[in-house]
This record gives sequence, structure tokens and C-alpha cells, in this order.
Amino acid sequence: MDKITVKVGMASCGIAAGSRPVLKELQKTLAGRSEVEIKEVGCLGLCFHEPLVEVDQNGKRTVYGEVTPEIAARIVSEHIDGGKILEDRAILSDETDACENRMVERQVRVVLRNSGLIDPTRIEEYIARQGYEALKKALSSMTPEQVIEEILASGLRGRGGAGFPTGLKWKFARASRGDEKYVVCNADEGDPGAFMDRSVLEGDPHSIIEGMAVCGYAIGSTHGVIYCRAEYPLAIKNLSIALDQAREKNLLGKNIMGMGFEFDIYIKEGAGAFVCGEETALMASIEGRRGMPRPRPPFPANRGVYGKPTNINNVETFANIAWIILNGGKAFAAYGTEKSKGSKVFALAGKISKGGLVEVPMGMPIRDVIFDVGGGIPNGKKFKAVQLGGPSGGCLPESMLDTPVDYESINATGAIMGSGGMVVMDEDTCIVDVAKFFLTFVQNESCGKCPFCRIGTKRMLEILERICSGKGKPEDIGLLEDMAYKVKDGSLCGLGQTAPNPVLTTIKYFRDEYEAHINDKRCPAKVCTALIHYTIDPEKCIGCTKCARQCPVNAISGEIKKLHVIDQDACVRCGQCIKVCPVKAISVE
Amino acid sequence: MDRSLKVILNGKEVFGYRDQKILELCAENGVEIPTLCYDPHLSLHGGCSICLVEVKGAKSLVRACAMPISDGMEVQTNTERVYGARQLALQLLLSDHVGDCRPPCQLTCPARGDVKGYVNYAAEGEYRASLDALHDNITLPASIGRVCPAPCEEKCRRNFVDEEPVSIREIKRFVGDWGINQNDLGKIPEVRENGRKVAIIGGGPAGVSAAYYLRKMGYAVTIFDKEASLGGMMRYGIPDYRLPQQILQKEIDWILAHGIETKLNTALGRDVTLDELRKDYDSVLLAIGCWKSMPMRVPGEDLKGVLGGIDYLYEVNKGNKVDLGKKVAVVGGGNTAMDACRCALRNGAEQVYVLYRRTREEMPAENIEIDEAMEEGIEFVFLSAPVAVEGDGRVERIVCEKMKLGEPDASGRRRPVPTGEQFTLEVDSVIAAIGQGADLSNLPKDLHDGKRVRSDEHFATQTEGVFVCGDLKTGPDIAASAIGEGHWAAESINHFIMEGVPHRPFECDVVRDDLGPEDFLEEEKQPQEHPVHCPGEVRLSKPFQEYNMGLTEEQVNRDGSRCMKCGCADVYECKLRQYGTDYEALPETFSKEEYSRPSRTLEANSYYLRNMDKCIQCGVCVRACSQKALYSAIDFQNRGMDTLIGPGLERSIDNSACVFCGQCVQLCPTGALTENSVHGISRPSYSRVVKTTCTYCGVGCELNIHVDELTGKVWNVTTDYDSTTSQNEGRCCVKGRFGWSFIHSRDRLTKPLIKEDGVFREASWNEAIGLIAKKFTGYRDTSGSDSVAFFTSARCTNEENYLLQRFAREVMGTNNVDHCAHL
Repeated sequence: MDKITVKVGMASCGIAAGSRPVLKELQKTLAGRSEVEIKEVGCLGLCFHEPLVEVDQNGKRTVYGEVTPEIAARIVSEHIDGGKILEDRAILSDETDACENRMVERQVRVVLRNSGLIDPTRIEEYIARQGYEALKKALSSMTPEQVIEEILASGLRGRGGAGFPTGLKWKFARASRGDEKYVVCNADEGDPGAFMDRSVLEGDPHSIIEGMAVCGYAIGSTHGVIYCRAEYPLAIKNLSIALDQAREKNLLGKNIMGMGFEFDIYIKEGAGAFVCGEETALMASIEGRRGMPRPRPPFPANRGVYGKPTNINNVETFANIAWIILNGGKAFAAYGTEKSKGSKVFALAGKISKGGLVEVPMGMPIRDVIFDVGGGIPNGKKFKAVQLGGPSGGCLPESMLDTPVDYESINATGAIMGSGGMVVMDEDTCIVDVAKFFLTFVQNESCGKCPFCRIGTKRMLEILERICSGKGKPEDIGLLEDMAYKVKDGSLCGLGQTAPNPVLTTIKYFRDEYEAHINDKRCPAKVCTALIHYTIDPEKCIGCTKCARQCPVNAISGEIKKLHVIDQDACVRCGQCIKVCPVKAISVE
Repeated sequence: MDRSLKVILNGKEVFGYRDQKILELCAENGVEIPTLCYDPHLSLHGGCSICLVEVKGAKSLVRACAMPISDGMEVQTNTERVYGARQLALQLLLSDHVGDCRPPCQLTCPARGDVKGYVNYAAEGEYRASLDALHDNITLPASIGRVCPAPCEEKCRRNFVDEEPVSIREIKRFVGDWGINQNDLGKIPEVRENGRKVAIIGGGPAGVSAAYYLRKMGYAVTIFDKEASLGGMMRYGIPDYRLPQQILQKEIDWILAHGIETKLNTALGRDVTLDELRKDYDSVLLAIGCWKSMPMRVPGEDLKGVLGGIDYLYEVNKGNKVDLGKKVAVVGGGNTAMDACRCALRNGAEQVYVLYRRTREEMPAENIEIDEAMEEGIEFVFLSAPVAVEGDGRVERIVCEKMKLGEPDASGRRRPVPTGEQFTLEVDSVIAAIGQGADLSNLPKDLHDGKRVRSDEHFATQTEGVFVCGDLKTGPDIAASAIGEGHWAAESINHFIMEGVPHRPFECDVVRDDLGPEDFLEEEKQPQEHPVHCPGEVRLSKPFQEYNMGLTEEQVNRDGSRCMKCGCADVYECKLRQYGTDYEALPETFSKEEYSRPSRTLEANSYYLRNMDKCIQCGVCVRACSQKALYSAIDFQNRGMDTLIGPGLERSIDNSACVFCGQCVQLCPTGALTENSVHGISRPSYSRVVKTTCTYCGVGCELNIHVDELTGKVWNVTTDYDSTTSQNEGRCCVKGRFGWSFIHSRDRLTKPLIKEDGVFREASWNEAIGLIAKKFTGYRDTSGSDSVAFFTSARCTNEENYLLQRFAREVMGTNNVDHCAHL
């Protein structure tokens, strides 16, 4: 009998959805069965289906979604033992056509090539999938210059957000003189709704280590630092294991693979400040100083960590490197558009049917990412906007959905590619409230060094708060725009320079909604509590008292079988009454 | 240095060297770049965002302090984009900067008199300094000190402690009188003529004030006045018992002595025309005031015996006899009405009524005026409005209607409402003191709107080169307001002549108006000093003589010391305020009503005050402490709006590594860190820096002693970071920086003393040294050389130590010599 592999998704998304009891159940029922191997793997990207269990048998895969311990038991009894696929639970299967998944079909998995397929804590599995071949190739058959040429040829651009050509960055770092140089991996993923880097760190840590080692070889560095936020404990754990295993196998350390190259990496845990994703703040934090950005120049390539020439790339960028070295820059450049090559990982979140992680070729229209790959908006609601690029990105409306995902096209809309967060919003979302939400985030995360960001975003936030509470003034939109441009123009670092983007794009694309708040004191999406009120339709109310009992502040009065009335002064606009009314007598205006 | 890099700076080719920052290049080429966080002695910070400039090709604005120049770089420092960004950055900083730059008294004063300055100088007996400080803004202090309703006193925070303000007006008057009594109102500086001419029409407080400030700027100024004497309404509208004309004259004479020409008895329209003046002068300032009495608009107004209030006072002040008869009715409730009724009494009227449509509560006149008028026997008939004046050819009676108070009107006072009930008073004269207006008959029609001369905020009329200020522009207002108007109009005229456009000076002021009695509970109570009250009958016995003798010197010293020195100690040196002024950054752009300001710590220690509400987080103190002082006692904590600089762990400075060397205090660009001894009274423009060597020990630190030139007193000690000769390179210790109060100690020994019979007596240096020599010789000769030992103090310099050991060895013949720190 062939060996059977059962893979359980044990990334943070899986664990959060309940994969631990599933794993336990499988370990219990499969105990002592030598033909079955249970593997803990990383994120496959289908986060909305977690917990995931995959059964590989005879070279064929079947993936089950939303697995509970009971279903796990059924998988064992019906599929593994009975040889019959649980049709109702399979979401992907090579053995049946019953389920197809567009989300998987349209992807190009370079960065995510191993994610969800291998056990990240076992270096052998990475090696089995061509792991460390690229490093070997580089060390054995390429000069550092040739490595850089290959990266340049691939057209790879920094996936952290700014999109600076990676090969060029390496070239500068190589050209910079210094007795010591540093390779830094920026794993300080802090955008709300973004989890691309975490999934790779958790699910395929060796791809980053290999990418950094190749980079170290290319620029002439022996020191690597992974700056990872402490809120990613699993990522740090898996990385640490991976580093140890790599050292054991002489893939890190002195005289790597016997080819005279020395390189090692240590992990620096960040304290979770968003601004430490900015490279100069990140470097300050690595050195143990307060995480505050400094003006550039000098750029890290000239004066970086501890004053030494430093090359900083983010997780996703490094995860591409090994693939490019192995398959060639040309193969990578075959994907994507003229200026944006390769694929890009997006984290789909918000009001989207298939929330999760997808890697698509550059140039795919946003519409396809959301509606085809991501399955569109759930519950029959209408699409309203998508926030691209995290809190410092921009909010795009329906009319911009045909924009292809590449750096130039997205920048032209006023949003940014950012690290790849895509937060989808439906018609129930108030756009001013969204701008307020994102600005609140950057305001909280401002390091406080320059007044534009420290005070400017605060003042802008206060204006938005005023608009949402019905105290907006007609001149507020102009004031916001004027401040936004100046804050972008004058801020010290990328945080402040992009912080106003959500405000600017929402004003640009949803000005009428701002005007409704300001001029008509009306929130069209019925979200801003100061601008809405709930009423009970006397025609429809049957006096069931449900709403009155549900109301947390006793704002609803009325006797049984008689009309109920909401006291507008006492009402806190929580909306609980609407949910319980059996006859839909309550409406919100 | 190899200046091989070519940079186009504001369109001009300049050369700099590799790694030179834009800011440094600008400084070399005379282009000032504002900055709050850059200090050449400290590491780069780049936070303040004020030094932004435009570099061609750069996506966003560039920090001049941080960006090195490159060959072919094109830099613009004065574009609208740069100005706008700097202005917003300043407005944002100001919106999170809590405190008051200038004290409320000064901000309330329409002439922006430096109240804190002149009151405190007066309190210390430094009357010359006080008078000089007064003249900076208040041209006629002795006169204003008599007649000003003193709005400053209403805002004085001493009210929160004692329910009585500092006697600002009386102190002003005392200081003004002191100058007059010295027969020296102040040194008249040599004016550097600038060759430009300004004509001023009207020599009242506005015109005289404008003339003074224009003259000091170098203008040839001529005042034209229709009267035979200058002073305008202050002379012809205020009776002598309140403001003696000779006091006013002396003050005006001193101003004219600066080299101001006058053309008296010369009226605009009659003797000279505006067009002529425009031709002959670079600029013309109209300041002819409001001299027309408003009519009552009742029948019988044209009867003989009906006079306008201001017309009557004019006659009185000219010394002309006006026959009012025995019974006089004065209509109105303002100061003119009070002056008129009291003058009528003094002119021999037996019965004087004041008719006022509302009640005493609503009277606009000053309380003291009303009280004194009542005391002198004036009869106030409240809630009465004239309906008609009747008589056969001459006034015989006035018919009035009873009023009652209705709803408040626009002024907030309750509106008088007719009741229909009438009554009649038998009178011989009626003085209508219900208001004044401008006489516009001699002015071109396009200049005015029928009531006043129209102007923009810069005092410019629509005719180029013609300006207007004072009552003619504002309508009737107090004299201090006219003085302020004259001052700012002068500045605007200067800007017009020199720069081509009128511009009223802008001053950036962060204001605090949320304080109350609860904020001053720890302040010791001290009652206000008042002038001796002169009873009514005494006043009337010398009808037109001044009866308020003002405060005595002791009272002035005492009352002046009640000043709590509100306002920021750093007001004259604060870079934030300076740039806020330069860039016209309005602190109200983000008003505290609409935008939040977190409350931060205020912490005092023995040497300096840390007011983190004023901190702009430039990090200069943090860098100074770690890089210059090498103590790292403070650092940034928290982030964003909650960022706070301090020792951390909620410790106070006293419990930190701070050694109070005060370098942070010196380098702080705002008032967040201020020396306890500095109060924002001495001004840099009147301050002199004296370089000296610290006397505390042998290290020999170089110090800068700041001496107030007005008083000759030391007011602060700092260090010079730029000095190339000093060995301390800007550093010093707590003693050198803060331990200087002994300089002005009364107990300080300045002459040698010799003790005889247990009592010290003063002696000459020769006698004292002779005595010491005699004693030393005695010890040596009687007990031997080694019976004496010498120690030098740590305060002795190396040279002194050297001299002493030679003295010990050569003169006394002993090796018993040491230094208390074994140097």
C-alpha cells in the first residue's frame, strides 16, 4: 500500500480557526499506523476554509475545508480507510471534478511555492523541493555580479511597497565600501488586514533564509538580520528552527557548502511599532535605539545598521530570490507587465467571500482578484470600495476596478501597491468612517518625530471625527485636502508621506459622501451613529416587546401588543432592535 | 575645502563642497533657513520640518538640514509651496503648544504695552528702564496713565488671587511723572535719516504716536494740525482736572524733540489739500479723529443753549467762557457725558442733571467717573430719553420719556423701551453727549463711507500712499487704542515705502484663557494699592486742578511686586514664536475649542522649569544631554501625540541623572525649558553679552553674562558653543550657569572689613593688606616659618595657586602649602 500523507494547516490562520483539536483527533485515530504520516504545514492561502486537512494518496491530493474533529474522524474512516472522498467537504481534489476552485487556478505561486505543502520545521522537506539549490548554484557557478544581473533581469521590485528595483538596490550595496555589510529582512508586517509575510515566515522560512544568503553572497555580506515583530510568535519559532537546521547542514555559518562563503542570520524581535517597518526606523530598532526614522540620505546602502552598508528587503522579496536564481530572471519576467514583473501576493480581507492569501501575476485587474479569485462580495451585497496598500494606501471605487495590479497603474489612482493588503468593503461601509479608521491607525502609529505626521494626522483625524459626528463644516473638505498634500509633501518618512492617502482617495472618489455628511448631516451608509436614528413603523409594530427587551439602554418603551416607541435621546444607535424585530418594523434613517 | 559643487540657489549660481548640507550652503550665502531642531553642535535630527526647501526633481520637499548638496542641484527656498508647508508645520506645532506667549494684560492693551516689563522695572525701582520700556509702545505714558480705562487691569490675573488687579495704570502714570519730574523723559537717539518724508494730518494720540515711530525709523515727519497745540482729543476733550494740559505738553515736546516738524493751525482742506501733500510726501497718514457731536434728533435741538458734548469740552479746554445758566441737562452715559456734567458744575451751574436712557449698570462711562460725579452732586436721571427741547428762542425745558429695560441688544446691554410716560425738567442748557462722529467734509468722497475712512487691515486707504488710523478709522475709541493704531500704521507705512506694499506687523501669540482662581491657590494674597481719595468738596474747591495724586513710590514698588509675571519667560527668544511671526502662522488655525491638546507635565526644580506643554519635541535637549553633557538623563518616551521627553519611569528630574548643567535649557528653542531666574522681562534688543571666566573653580569655564542694558543688572548666564578659545566648549556646571544670584545680593562684600572689638568696620585695601602682612610677619618671626600653613580654595585659579605657593615658600619660608582639592 502506498504511503499516505495527511497534512494539517497549522499556520496562525489554521490554529485560530481550530486546527489544533483537528490535529489531535487525527494523531489519536491514526496512532500507530505507519503507512500514514501526519504533517503540520503552513498556510495554503485558503484561509476562509480553515481548518484545512489535505490527504495525499497515490500522488493525488484532496483538500478538505472547515474540518472539525468529527469530520477529521470521518476523513480517516471514509477517505483513508474507505477510499471514498467526502464529496461534501472536499474543496480541492485531483480525484473528482465535483469541486473546482478558481481561487487556486488563477494563481501563479512563486513566493507561495512551498506554503501549505511542506512542514516548515523540517529542512528536508524544503530541500526536497529544490531548496537551497539556488544558493548552491549561485555559490558554485555564478559571480556575485552575475547574481545581481540575474535579479536585475528578472525585473523584481521591492515587495515592501515602494517597488524599488531589487537588483539595483543590491548593486548599490555591493558597490558601497565597507569591511562589514548587513543583509536585513524586513519582517515587520504591520498593516491591518495584511498577512502575506507572516504566512511565508510561518510556512516556508527557508525560502527567506536562502534568499538572504544569496543576497549576502551578491553584495558581499556575512551578517543577516531578520527584523520580525514579536506579535508573530509562530513565525519566530519556525524561523529559529529553520536557522538552527540550516546551520546544522552548513547552509549558514562559515564556509557554506564548503565553498568558502560565510553568512549567518539572527532574529531581532520588534516591539510592534508600525513605523519600524520604515527602513531607517527599523535599523535604529535593530541597534537598540528608539524606533524613529531619520532623514535619508545617507541611504542604508551607504550607512545602514551600525553605520555599515546594508541591504534591506522585505520577506516577500527575499522569498522570490531562490526561484529566480533557479529558473532564471527571464522566467520570472515572463509574468507580469512591462514595468512590474512576476507575481504579487495579496491578502484578501474584509467583505470578501474567499478571504485568504493569493499570488497572482502582476497586471491582473483588481476586479479579477476580487471577484474571480476572491469570489466577490458575500451575502449578495454590493461592492463599494477596496483599500489597497494598507492604512497608507488608497480606497478605490467600482470605477477603478479594471486597474491592473502593477506599481505604476495603482500609484496613478492615488493608492499604493503597499505590501499587498486588499481590504474589500461592501455597501454597508461608510467611506468617511473608513478614512477615519485608517487615519486613526496611522495616527496611533506615528512615532512623533515630525509635526506633519504627529500633529497633522491628529488634526486631520479630528476633522474627520467632526464630520462623522455631524459637525462638519463646508470648508472641511478643502482643509483636509490642503493639509493632506502638505503632510505628504513635508513628512520625514514613508509613514507620514502616505498617511493622508486614504483621506485623499476617499475624497477623490467619494466626495458626494463627504458632502452628504457635511451639508445634509446624513450618513448614506447609515454607519455614523450621530447622523442616524432608528424609528418603529406604527403600521408594522405588533407590540411583541422583543426590541424593548433587547435594548441595552432601555430606550424603547411600549406595552405588550401596543406600539413601541424609541426615545431618540436615550438611544445609542447600536442597532440591536433591528436585529430582533420579527416584522421588520424598525428602520434606520 | 574644495568648493567644486555648483548649486543653483534661488536662481543664483553658488558653490559648495562635498557633503555640505543645503542649510549650511544657504547660511553661507545669506539665505536664512528656519529650523527648530538643527544645531551644528549636535547630531542631525530632521524632525521639526521647518527647514523644508524645494529641490528640482525631488518628489517631495527636502529637509535642508539633512540633504547634502550635489553638483547641478537646483534649490528654491522661497516658493509658495515651501512657505505653505513651513507655515502649516508651524501652525501644527503651535496647535500643540499650550501657554501664553505674552501676558493677558499686554494682549488686552490696544497699544500692546509691555506691561510685565514696565511694571516689574518700576517694582524694582528701575524707573528709567520702566519708562524706556513704556516708550517702546506707549508714547504718552504720563497722560495715558491718567485717562486710560485700563482694559489691561480687567484681564490681570492678580484678580484671581486678590479680586483686584495690579495697579497697571497708576504705575504707568507714576513712571511717566517720574520722567517729567526728572525733566528727562529719556535719551533721544540719533536718528539715521532715510531720506523719506511722511505727512501726518492730526496731532492727537494716533498722529503723535505714528510720528514718533516713523521718526525713529528715519523718516522726516511733519504733523499738520488745525489747532494751536498738539494733543487732539486728549487735550481738547478731557478736562484738566483729569489730565493737566502741561503734562500732555511735556510728553509731546519730548516726542517732537526727536526731530518731528509741526505745522499748527493748519487744517486739511482749508490750508492744505490732500493732493498737495501726496505730491510732497512719500506717504500721508490721516489721523484727524472724531470731532463731531452726534445730534439728539429731537425737536428744538437748534435752540440756543443746546450744545454738543465734545463741543462744550473743547470750549472749556480752550479756556473759553460758556454761559450755561443755572440748570444744565447732560444727555448721555459715557465718559464725555461725565466730563461735561462735571465741567458744567465747575463752570458754575447749580443743578446738573445727567439723563440716561438705561440704568447705571449699562453706563459705558468708567465707574470712578460716575462715582465722583455723584459725589459732586450731579443728579442722575436714569431710564429717561429726551423727546423735545423747548423754549422761546433759548432752552427753557427738556421733555423726556420714561424708559424701561427690554431684551439685550447687539452690545449685550438691555435695550431701553419707551413707556409712553413723559416728564419735563426745567433747564437753561442741554449738552448732548451721546456720541461723536468724524468730520469727513474735507476728504475725497471715495475715501470714506459717510461714517469713517475706509481702509484695509494694513491701514491703507484705496488711494495709494494714503493711510488712516485712530478714531477716523475705528470710530470713537480710547486713547491707548489710538496710540496702538498710530504705531501699527507707522509700521505699515514703513513697509509700504520700503517694500512697496502696506503691511501691518504680524505677531504670533499663543493665548491661554482657561485659567481661573483655582489655578492660583498657592499665590500669596496681597491687596491692591490705591491713590488717596480726594473728597468731592475738596475737588470742587480747586475746580480744574488735578486731584488724583497717584501712588507713592513705596506703593508703586509694592503694587508692582504683585505682578505674577504671566506670559512666557522665553517670549523674546522663542524660535517658534519668531518663525510663527515670520510665517504669519495663526495659532488659532487649529483652535483649542475644536482640536485637542493633551495635558503634559509641568515640573519645577531648583534651577529650571520643565513645561512639557510647550515642548515641540525637537529633541535638542535629549541630544545636548547625551552628546554635550554626556549624562543622558532624559530621552523620548511614548510615541506620536503622547511623546514626552523626560527621565522616564515617571521620575522627576530631581531623581534622575541630571546634574543641572542647564545646557538643555540654553539650547531649548521654546519656553519648554526655562531658567527659574528668567521671566521674559529683559529683552535681547536691550541686552549685552559680557564674556567672563567662571569664578567658581580653577577650571576656567568661559561664560556669557547677559546684562540688561536698561538696568545694568545680570539677568542670565549662558555659554558659547561657538567659541574657539574656550576650553569648556559650551559646557559648564550648575554653579556657573545658575549660581549667579549673589551678584546682586545686598549682603555681598565689596569693601574689606576689619574686626575691632568684635565689630567689623570698613577699611581701605591698603590698610587691610597692611594688617594681614603685619600679622603674617608676626607669626613667622615669633613662632617660626613652619608655624603657618597655606591652603587655597577650589575657587582659586591656577595663577592664584602658583602665586600663593611662591608666597608661602619665598616670603614665609615654609613648604606647608596645599590646595583643598590637591591640585
